[in-house]
Amino acid sequence: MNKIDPITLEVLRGSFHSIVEEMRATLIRTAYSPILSLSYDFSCGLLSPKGELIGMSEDFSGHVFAMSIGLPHTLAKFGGKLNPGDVVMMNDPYIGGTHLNDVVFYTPYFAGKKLLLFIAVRAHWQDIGGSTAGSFTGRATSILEEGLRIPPVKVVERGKRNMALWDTIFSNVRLADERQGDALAMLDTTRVAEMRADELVAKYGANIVERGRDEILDSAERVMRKRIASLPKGEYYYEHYMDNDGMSNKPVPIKIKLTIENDSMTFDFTGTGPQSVGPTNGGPPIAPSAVFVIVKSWLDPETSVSGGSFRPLKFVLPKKTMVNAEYPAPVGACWGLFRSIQGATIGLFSQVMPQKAVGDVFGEANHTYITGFDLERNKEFILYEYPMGGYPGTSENDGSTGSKMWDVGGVCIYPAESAEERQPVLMESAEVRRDGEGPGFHRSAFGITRKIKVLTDCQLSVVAEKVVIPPFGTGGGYAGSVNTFSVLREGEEIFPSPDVPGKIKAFPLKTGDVVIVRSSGGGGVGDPLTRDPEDVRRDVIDGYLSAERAAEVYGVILKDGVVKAQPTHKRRESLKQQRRYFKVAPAAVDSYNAAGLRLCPISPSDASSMSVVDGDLVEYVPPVGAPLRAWVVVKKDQKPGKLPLGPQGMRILRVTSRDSIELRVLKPGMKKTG
Amino acid sequence: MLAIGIDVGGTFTDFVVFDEDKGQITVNKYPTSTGDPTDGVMKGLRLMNIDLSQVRRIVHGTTVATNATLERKGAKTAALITKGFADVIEFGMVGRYAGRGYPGGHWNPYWVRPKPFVPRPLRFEVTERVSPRGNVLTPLDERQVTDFIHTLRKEEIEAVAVCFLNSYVNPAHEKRVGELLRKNLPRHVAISLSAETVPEFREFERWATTVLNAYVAPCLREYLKKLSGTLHKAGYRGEIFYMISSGGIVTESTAADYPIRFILSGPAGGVAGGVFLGEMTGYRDVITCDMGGTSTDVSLIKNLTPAIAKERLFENVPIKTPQLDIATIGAGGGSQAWVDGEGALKVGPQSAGAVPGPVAYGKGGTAITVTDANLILGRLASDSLLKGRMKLDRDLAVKAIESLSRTVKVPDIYQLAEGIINIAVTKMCGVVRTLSIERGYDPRDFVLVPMGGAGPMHAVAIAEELGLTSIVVPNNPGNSCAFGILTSDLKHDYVRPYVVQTQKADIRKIRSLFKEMADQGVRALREEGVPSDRIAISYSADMRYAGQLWELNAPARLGSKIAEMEKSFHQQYYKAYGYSRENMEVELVCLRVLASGRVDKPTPNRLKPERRPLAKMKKGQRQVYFRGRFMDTPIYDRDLVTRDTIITGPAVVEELGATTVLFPGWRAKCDAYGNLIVTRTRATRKATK
Repeated sequence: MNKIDPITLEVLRGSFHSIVEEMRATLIRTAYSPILSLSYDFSCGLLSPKGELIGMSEDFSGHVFAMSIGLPHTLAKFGGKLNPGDVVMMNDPYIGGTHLNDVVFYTPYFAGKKLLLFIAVRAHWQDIGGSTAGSFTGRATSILEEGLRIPPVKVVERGKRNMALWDTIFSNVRLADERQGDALAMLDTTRVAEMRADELVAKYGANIVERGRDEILDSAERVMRKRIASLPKGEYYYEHYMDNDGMSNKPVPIKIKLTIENDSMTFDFTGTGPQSVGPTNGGPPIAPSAVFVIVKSWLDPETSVSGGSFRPLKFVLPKKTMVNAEYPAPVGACWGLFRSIQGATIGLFSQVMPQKAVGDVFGEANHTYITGFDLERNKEFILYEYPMGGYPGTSENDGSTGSKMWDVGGVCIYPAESAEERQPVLMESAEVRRDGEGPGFHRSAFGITRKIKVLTDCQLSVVAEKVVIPPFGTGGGYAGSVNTFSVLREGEEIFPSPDVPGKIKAFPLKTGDVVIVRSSGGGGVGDPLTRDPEDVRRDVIDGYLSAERAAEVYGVILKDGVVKAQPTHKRRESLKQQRRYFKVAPAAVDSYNAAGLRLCPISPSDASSMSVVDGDLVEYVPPVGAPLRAWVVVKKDQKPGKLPLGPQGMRILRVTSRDSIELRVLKPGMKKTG
Repeated sequence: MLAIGIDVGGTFTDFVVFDEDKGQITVNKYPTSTGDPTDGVMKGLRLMNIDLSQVRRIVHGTTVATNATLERKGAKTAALITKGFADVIEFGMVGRYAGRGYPGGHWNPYWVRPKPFVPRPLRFEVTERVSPRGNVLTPLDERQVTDFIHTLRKEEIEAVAVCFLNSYVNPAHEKRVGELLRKNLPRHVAISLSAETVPEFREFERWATTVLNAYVAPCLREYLKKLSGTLHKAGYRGEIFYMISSGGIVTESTAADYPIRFILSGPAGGVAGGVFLGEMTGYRDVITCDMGGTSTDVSLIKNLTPAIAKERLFENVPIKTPQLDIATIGAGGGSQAWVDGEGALKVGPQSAGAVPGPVAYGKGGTAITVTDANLILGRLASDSLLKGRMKLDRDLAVKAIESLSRTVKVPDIYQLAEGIINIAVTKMCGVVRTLSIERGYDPRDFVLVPMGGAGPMHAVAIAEELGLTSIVVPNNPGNSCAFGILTSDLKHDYVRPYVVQTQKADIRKIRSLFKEMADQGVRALREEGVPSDRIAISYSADMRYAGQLWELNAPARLGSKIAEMEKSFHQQYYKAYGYSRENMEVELVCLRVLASGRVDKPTPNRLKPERRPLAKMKKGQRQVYFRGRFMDTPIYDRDLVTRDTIITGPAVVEELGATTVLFPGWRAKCDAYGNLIVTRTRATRKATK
């Protein structure tokens, strides 16, 4: 096959992109739910017949690559036989869906008899049935509680809508009119793409469009292979922990071994926790798309995004683990898993590319559902927000407060005036979370504080991550704050799910209760004691940072709004002195407990001087790269001042027996700040 | 008597002088003065020997407010905001607020949010609260406000924005704070209340607009005062009118109340020019495409009415006020071609600007630009620009493209040059399509009006890409903005919120709100000296299906019944999205009134039919590259083209500020006013319906 000329290629690439943009514009303007029209929790994409991504826009990578991964399964179901005018609907997490609320419509696009493209729209349905309004909760134990699981089915067959299927689905979801409006909007969105694709084919011919499609993929693959080839080859490890599985308060591990050979990378998840009883699970798309976001942003952020850059990446996802769950594992918290895998990948890349330091991300969407019956409007209501915190610190800059992650667009809290007009709530605040940042030479965002007062008895459900284990800092940067979810009732702040923080199912709210969400901003980068005191002062003047925290964490002493140089210098020296360093004691094996959590053996005297007890969370902080978390075990026979580290731990931290390493005590979640 | 349109742009100040007695139009272009833009205005008027006592009307377009915002040189601004919400003007609804033409930060962990216009220490949280129904839940704490005012005085604040929740329903608290501020702050301090600036719901958009309104008010006011003082001192006795972002004009006194309307007013003149041209030529559906050096402004005019956006993003901030919907694309004559990490050829958004400019300017530019590509293809000649006053060096351009051709592995430099142009054109067309799809229009039903120096050069390529069959190249396409502002009517728009299901709406309330706004409009226009027979009032309502989030504007009448308003909405919805849902409940969101006062339009004289052989209009002949090959192409001088002349492509028509390129398969006819009506003579490609 002849190569396509670069000009036509660029014109086609531009056209694919515009098609997706038009699809987005159509869905935003025609959808019924705020989550689509305001929050843009949907994605559009054009795929090759094999499912590789050709074009996307400001769409959510987590949605888009799941479309890619789900398409081959979908095709297999129909024996590869789809006809013009068919639209296939699917949300099955185990073969390429995400959580059940994300429903995808795949439409084959034919040029004559040739299957040229797939047009895909994935939209978050505000409800898909299940045990609670909004469908997923932190405490489900089976996918059946989370709503309808839809295998690949033709919702439109040769241009005719399958009304039997349609009626069945909309008899099983809440606020069905709104859901149908959204589904129709998804179909309209598809039609717009078909019209534009027709024009493209008319202008260039199907063969050229096909070649352009393939070359977009091939060239992206070439770039990615070149970038990978420039990286230091070898094996890298990182281990990261999620708060819990939704049922007990026991953290669960994510373990990744990265192997870089020549021009490809393999991410092996062996050692990752088994499929949870609770909802912290994902099907096959979650881990690859999470990893891909970091790989692409780190290695090749400037060229356009396509499935070609995915080709050099291989994944080992052991069956029946959190990253490759099977029926009947619930998957409501799959985005928590997604963000945690991103954190783990950031940890890996802090070793591969230490010059590109970025702190851990803030956690997860912080799905917050306030649902019930609105007597005044005489209907059910679902208020669904996901107050995200902002960006972690980086080697270049501080993280910006109040923004969704870099792999997703849209907004995530609603205008008070819009929410109050539609639901029985009164918004009390949307503000920067004071002292909520991950300190560092470059600090993270501060996170935000959101307060919502309910005006009727109703329910609160939450699915969130990093409510217990805070996001890590990089290169000596400090951990960020944790996300917190609480209810202010008659002046008293209560935590609805103290046994399993961050996973709340239908907690009964009373009229007048105030739901308080405090989001984290992520981890800092670099030592906060080296941060420019003027930058610390500015944060204090802005009211985002308290003078106490400026002194305690950054060692900056202010008087009348001015930095006092001498006392600052003294305080910084004294804070440096207080840091606890341990001599690395190489051990034959890494020490983990039965659940796969790393253990930190420590002598009774060290434990007492650091005020830690069994089960406390600590981190080993290397001067470069991401830290390693572990749980304290006080051991009588452990030598004071020594820290046993197995080979894996030593590799992650890149230390030898000659080194000492800083040990920090982490104060896990449930303590409120700001 | 004369009417003068003056448009101050970043590089040039454009003048259009219409001699009402002779029906004659003169245009000129002078460099914009650095520092005080009034200097450039006065200098231009002097150079053109204008006797200001003979001028009846001056209409002015200025980017003073735009630049103050871009350069962050606005007033020291404070904001009083409902307790708990002071940071909303910083991070909004927790989005990155990327939009058409704004960098989104997608895939970029290093993204940084632009700084808010009011720093945190100057945001004061006020204890007060109004419910969405307008009931006072927490009374205004006046003592606290008084304390804040002390601080504002001490800090020598120049502007204050007052932003309270639900003030669109009940503005009493904002109004009371406004009174206290006016009473206790120096008179020069600008005060903006959110309910007065944008009386519509959704706090972030309303507040962001209000803050920006306050931020630019003092510098704009100062500029208006200075310009009017200078012009009147120089003998001008009339009123100065100002172009605002809605595409209408206002008088100086009204202008001072609407600072926000100036921020996106820059390209509005071009759109107004498009409307006028449409009226003149009988084309009612027009796409204007104003292509300059660094960017291109695109707008849509349907049935002689420009598309209106209720909201546009500027500097990552939404500006919510009725304004022309103009999409700005980072592709223009100066856009540079480059090669990305994938080895793919890209064009823009980086631009060579005026310095160093395209390679052919010989001022040190090394990256090939769209203008260079046109020169290489012979579409431009070395002496095409400004009648040869500005020379282009083709050899330099060829050298630069040869080097690019090796990198990108396209050995044929001409094919590469045409490709660069096509990539820029594809980009523009993508935006035009999105702009039309957002309103449910098919771009192929429109006529293209190219403007700006580079517009007519690319018009055919754009039309072919979009499947359009007609183009109108106006007279003096390089001065379209200045001409457009001269044709704009006086406009005042008003909005009143009324959120209610139509079935529960009180028709008397709707009528009284309409009436109230209409009276206000008539009063304002009368004060501006518009006689009543020139005043037109139009009514409309923003509505949506109950449950939807975005509303759509539907026309109404003062005497409309509810059913009629609903029907109008269903029709608008059908137009926009191809279906409507007549069995669903409809919700009213707000009512709008537009009061306009018609001005005298500069109607140029019709050209006399004059027989002149084509050969006499021809100024030369050269090889020009079209779709893969060079063709022997005649070059015509537009100043010599007479009425009814037909020029068949391939051909190039040159004039002072622009070059029109006619591809084979297209022809141009000069109409009675000197516009070139360019149409397709044969289908050059299949346009699918």
